[in-house]
Order: sequence, then C-alpha cells, then structure tokens
Amino acid sequence: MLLGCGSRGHQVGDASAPPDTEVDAPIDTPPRHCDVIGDVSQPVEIQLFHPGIPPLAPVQAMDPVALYVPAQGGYVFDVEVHARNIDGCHFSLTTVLRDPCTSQVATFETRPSVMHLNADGWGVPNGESDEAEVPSCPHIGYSHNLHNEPFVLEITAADSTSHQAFASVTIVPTCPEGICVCNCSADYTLGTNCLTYPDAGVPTSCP
Amino acid sequence: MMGRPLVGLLLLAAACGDNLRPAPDNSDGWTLADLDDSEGFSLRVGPFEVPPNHEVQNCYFVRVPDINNGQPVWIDRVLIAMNVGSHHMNVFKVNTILGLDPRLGTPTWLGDYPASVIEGADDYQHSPCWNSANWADWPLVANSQTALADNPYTDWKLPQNVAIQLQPGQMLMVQSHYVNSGDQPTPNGAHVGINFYKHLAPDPIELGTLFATQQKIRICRSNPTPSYSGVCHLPSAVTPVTITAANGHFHKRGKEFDMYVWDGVTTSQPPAASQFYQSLTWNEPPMMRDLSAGVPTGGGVYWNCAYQWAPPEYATCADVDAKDPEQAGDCCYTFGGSTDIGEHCNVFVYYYPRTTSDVFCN
Repeated sequence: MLLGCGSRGHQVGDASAPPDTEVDAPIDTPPRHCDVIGDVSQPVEIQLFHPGIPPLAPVQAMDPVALYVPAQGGYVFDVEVHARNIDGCHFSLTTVLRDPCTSQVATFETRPSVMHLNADGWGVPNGESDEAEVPSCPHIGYSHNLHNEPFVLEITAADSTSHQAFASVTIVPTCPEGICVCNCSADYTLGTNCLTYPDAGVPTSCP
Repeated sequence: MMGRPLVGLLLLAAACGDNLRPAPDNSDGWTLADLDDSEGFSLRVGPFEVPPNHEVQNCYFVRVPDINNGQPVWIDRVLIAMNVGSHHMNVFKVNTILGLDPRLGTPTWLGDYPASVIEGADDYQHSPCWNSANWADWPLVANSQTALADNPYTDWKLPQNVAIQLQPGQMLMVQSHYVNSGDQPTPNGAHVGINFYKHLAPDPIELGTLFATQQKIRICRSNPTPSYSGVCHLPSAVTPVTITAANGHFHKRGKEFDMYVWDGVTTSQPPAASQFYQSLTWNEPPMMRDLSAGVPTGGGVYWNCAYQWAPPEYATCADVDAKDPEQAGDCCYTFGGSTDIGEHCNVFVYYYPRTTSDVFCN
C-alpha cells in the first residue's frame, strides 16, 4: 500500500515494521564475513535504519533523508537494512523510489548485500556498499523535484532461496547546502550552471 | 609535457639524453585524413609511451573551432582511430569546474588546435583527471573503447539527418586512458585520432547522450560473483526517443554487461526482447551502432553488470585493500579508474531526438 497524496504515516508491507525505538547494539567491526541469520524456515523480517554511528534511528514516515555526493558525483542517499531469517551470504536488495502521487518509478537499483550476525540477533550489512543506495540526482526528464518532497521508498530483500521481504515508507530526500537543490530540481538540464542557481528552487506538487 | 605529436617528444629526447624513455615506434597501423574547415575538424592525441605494467590517463582540453561562421557546428560522423592498448577515449563538454581545471593544464596541441592537458598518468589517487565526480554534469559527446590491431577504427555514422550539436568556442575534454598490461598491451605507444565530420544538410535532429555510472560496486574475494543493476530515465516524457548506439565499460573483473530498454514501470530485469546491448569482454567491449531501440514515453535504460573476482595482474591485493574505503582486507575492488585496482560499471548510450537535455545518472 502506498501513501495517498499529502498523507503522512509510514507504510509497511508484509515485512515487519521499522522498530519504534532506536537500536543501541553496536554493529560488529569487520573482519569481512557472512552468516545464516535466524531460522531460514521462517518468514524474512527486515528493518530500515538511517545509516550512521550507532545507536541507529529507524526510518520513520516523512523522515528527511540526507542526500550526499558519492564518489562518482550526483546525489544519492542510503538506507541501512537489517534482516533475519535469511542467508546473509547470498542476499540482495532492490530499492525503488516512487512518486507518491502517480506511483511512477523515479529510480531503482539492485545490489548484493553481505550480512553478518549482530549481537542483537539481526543481520547487519558488512559495510556501506551493502546498504541500500538510492541514486537520486540529477534526474533528467523527471517531472518532480527530488528534494524536499515526499517519495515512497520500497525495499525488497531476498536471499538465494527465494526468501524475501518487502517494506515501504514515505521519506523526504533532503539536500545539504550547495548546488544540490539545483541538481535535484525538476527543471535541471545537464550543463546548467548550478553555481548561479537560486537556493530555493521551484516547488512541485501533485497534480 | 606534451608538444605537437612526436616532434615534441623527439626534441625532448634529444635534449635530455638517457633521462627520457625513447619515443615509441610510431607504427600505428592507422591513418586519418586531416579535415579542412569545410569537412569538419580533426583532433590528435599523442603519441606518447605507456610503460609496461602502468596505466596512463590524460585529460586534454580544446575548444570547438569556429568552422561555421559563428554558427553551431553539427557533426554526423565521428571517425576514431587508436593504437592498440587504448582502454577508453571519452569526449565530454566541459561544464562545472570542480578540480579538473583546463586553466591549470600544460599547454599542448591536439592536431592543429591549441589545447591544455592535465596528465593524470597513473596517479589515480590524487590526479583530478581520474576523479569522475568532475564530469557528473559534463555532457557526453562521444566515446570509443575499441583499438584492435587489425581494425583500429571506430567509424560511427549517425542515422540519417541526426547530428551532434557543438557550439564554436565550447570547451571539450578528451580523456584518453591507456593500459600496458598483459591483457591490454600497448606495444606501439599511445596515439589517438578523432575526426568530426560536419553535417551539411539543414535542420538536423539533435543527438542526445546518456552517461551513467553505478555507485558503490564491490567485488570481493569472499563474494566473488556479484552483479549490480540500475536504471536511468531518458527525457522521453513527451516524445518517445530511439537509442542508436551504446557501449558498456567495466574492468578486468567484468564478465557480462547487459542493457535493456526500460519501460519506466517495471522494477525487475526487462524481458529479453528488450535487450539492445551485451558485452562479454572487458578490454575490447563492442560499441553497438545503428540500433533502432525505441524507448516509450516515461522509459529509459536498464543495465546489469556481472563480475568474477580475480587477483590483480601487476598490482597486489595490498594495493587493492589500501584503496578499499571499508578497509575489509578482502581484496575488494571498488569504484576506481585503474583497471588493475578499481572497477567500473559505466553506461554510454546515444539517442535521438535529444529533446530537453543530455543525461547523467548515478
């Protein structure tokens, strides 16, 4: 189920909801390894967190998520997925960002996510590259700003035994200072000089 | 330092004696006509030597010559010739300057045109010529990854009445990356020629370009066969566009690079009938031309990059580990330009009509 336009509140599919409380169990320091986590005969469960230094905050409805510049340029944001009842050695994440008004897919990607058992009994990603990543800006030819507007984030987590779980929550990609607002605006075209772009941009809204 | 091709190297060699490596044998195996203004314009890079087990990536800056009385220059054929060993040659339009600044380059010449060069050499850790974030908003113009001994040419003729638009005086960046290793040898030195042929008919349809790069790829010894996929919208919200050419770019762990027309709706791999590109080789990936892959309104491109971990050839896992931002000690290749130490999953797609913009996706 996805949000109607202008609604608030997190949306959860057939997976467990993001927890209401912060997680204070520390994430293991590598060495690099992976584990079978929990009971793989049971349904897969996943939780979504804002990445960072523990204690991690769960992703809640209408949370701002911070866009940042990755190595290759543009702007992305990350979500840390915890899971259990999975084979953490053969695990993948498909991340979709949808327009809440039209359900149009703004972007999606699929990547492997190697997980190991954490002290709290959940599987956690080994590193940043094992987190769900959402390539966001620029987004040429897309009719909405990719900043300061709500989008539905959908994450499907699956292992090689066809165990999978799905979660979704409405989030608000949020630009830091700088040229991000220009780069993430609906009217951005490649080659625009973002150094002279007005800070606020032009808001877009559902039709 | 670069001078006019070959002559500069020979003069330097004469001046400095044994301190310089000998100029490479200029047995290119290719020749290109030097175009006059009525035909287009010609750029030449090198020749220069690439030492064994080294990579050289240089970024050359040159302005589009005014060969059309101050009016836009339309190009409908790009003929590229490269000595064996070229890993890639990309041409971008320069836009926002972050670290890669043409004003900081060493003066040189690209054929008959004054230019500057930032020599990245093999300093992938520090040189801005290796930092791809620089050209996240630099529209792609053309590229080639093919440099075969028996066919060093990429002769890209655009579809009927489709052309690349360049503005006179516009700054271009020509990035040349050569590798001289066992599986991509450069026996005759680096040398690149590019001929841009002028389109003469009126009212051409403008070509659009898409450059995309998958973020945070990671190929580890303990997880040796990962694959990554992503999508990128084309500016087709109103007008359907047609993909006419494409090529994919990865490094030595790359096993299969696939591209599909994406309908803008599906969140899984599109059906086989939608596939328009496949590469099974990292060092001479094909450039598919003369495609007619229609993209529906709201659609775009889906890609998948599949890898097989292998140890580095001339570097070491310690070198690979030193570059790993996660410091996992697992010989994990991450995004990076050096073919022996880093990996890529880069998409080059050419479409028409351009409509509103060229495209960059991450």
